[in-house]
Amino acid sequence: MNAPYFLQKNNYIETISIDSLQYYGERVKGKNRNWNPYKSKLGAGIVKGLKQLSLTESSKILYLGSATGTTISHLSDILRQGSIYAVDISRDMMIKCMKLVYLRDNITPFLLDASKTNFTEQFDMLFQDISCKEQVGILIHNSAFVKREGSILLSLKTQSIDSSRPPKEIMKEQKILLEKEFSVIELINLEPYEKHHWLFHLKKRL
Amino acid sequence: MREKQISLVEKEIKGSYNLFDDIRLAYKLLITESKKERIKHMLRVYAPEELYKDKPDLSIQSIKKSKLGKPYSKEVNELINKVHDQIFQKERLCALIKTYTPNLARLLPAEIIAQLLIKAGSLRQLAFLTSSKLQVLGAEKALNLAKQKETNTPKHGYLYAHPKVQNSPEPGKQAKKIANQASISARIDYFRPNEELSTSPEGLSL
Ligand SMILES: C[S@@+](CC[C@H](N)C(=O)[O-])C[C@H]1O[C@@H](n2cnc3c(N)ncnc32)[C@H](O)[C@@H]1O
Repeated sequence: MNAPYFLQKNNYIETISIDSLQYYGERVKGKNRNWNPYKSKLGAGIVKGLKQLSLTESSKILYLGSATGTTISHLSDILRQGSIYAVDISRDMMIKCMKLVYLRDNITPFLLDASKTNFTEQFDMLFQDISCKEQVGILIHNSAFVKREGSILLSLKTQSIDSSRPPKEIMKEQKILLEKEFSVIELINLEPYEKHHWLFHLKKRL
Repeated sequence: MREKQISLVEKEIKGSYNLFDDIRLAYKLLITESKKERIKHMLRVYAPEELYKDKPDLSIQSIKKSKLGKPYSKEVNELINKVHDQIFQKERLCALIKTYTPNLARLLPAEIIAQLLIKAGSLRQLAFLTSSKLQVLGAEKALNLAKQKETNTPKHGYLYAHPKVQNSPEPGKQAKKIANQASISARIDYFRPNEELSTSPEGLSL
């Protein structure tokens, strides 16, 4: 990852913020904010060795399922010249996220269902972390807004698809669906940071 | 462009408050012991931005100024004055439940209905539950344990507080009977031909 505001030492990752703000109870030292992998799935993915992430200072990111803005707060640190589109369907989550929106001017909020999005822009990266059954369908719909060589990251929560079958079986099933549309570059199991979660790093089939 | 989007989201949030939020608030005010927490519950609906601050302030001005809270109306004045008045809150909850779910209100005490509604997420979701699920709503812990150990499932959740269940020699059977009736009443209430009350935005997880 080519980003000057991101630091990594083994399992410890940090981002450098502009305002040394503590947002979700993370450790803050000066302007360095500890990125807690137990609270953020992208953080967990990076700690577990996500490598070929093409993230720069001026990337444009579409983030589906922003919730209260834990992960977004770090992405906002990294993207000094870029921008983040944060999509979430839940009003109460969005209200909490608005605190961050008012503080940082690179985040734009969208209160809508991720399966009904429609953007005119093209994004460098798509990150999806949505806890619903139709996770893969939503990803395929939104991949239309990603540039040809852009990264697509999916944090797959198998418990939302079916909690009665073994997680691994569901993951394999979903992987087959994903491979029809994308090529899988990396596949990371997020244990021990998150149970029953896998992080897919995908690229569009050219 | 970004400013426009932010004010659009603010407008959407402001417009999304409904009777269900009032019920949730009234119930929360009724069950919370600490005065500080009660103020927080009020602010969560009427001026969520205040909660971003270290010292949130509940006042008519902050409610009138709020961009994310429920729009100001006259009844707020009384509500603020009587935040800590338990009798008033109880009456208010009963009145709200009576307009929201008149049929259920005949069958169950208002507190139980509020608990069921909050757990289910919305009237729509409550109406679509099976009566056996409704019977054990509120006893998730015991239910999951029973499923894992394959022992007997719980007989009642929130319904246990119902006087009829408590006074019955066979509380399980009584709970089942009430759950069956409640399930039908919830459906009647949801499909009642009163558009404003019966339709809540689909999928909105409150
Ligand atoms: C597990 S949280 C995401 C946490 C976040 N990625 C983080 O690390 O801070 C999942 C979010 O997806 C949202 N969500 C669920 N279904 C959705 C949908 N159809 N469209 C948009 N957002 C949805 C939920 O409101 C919830 O806030």
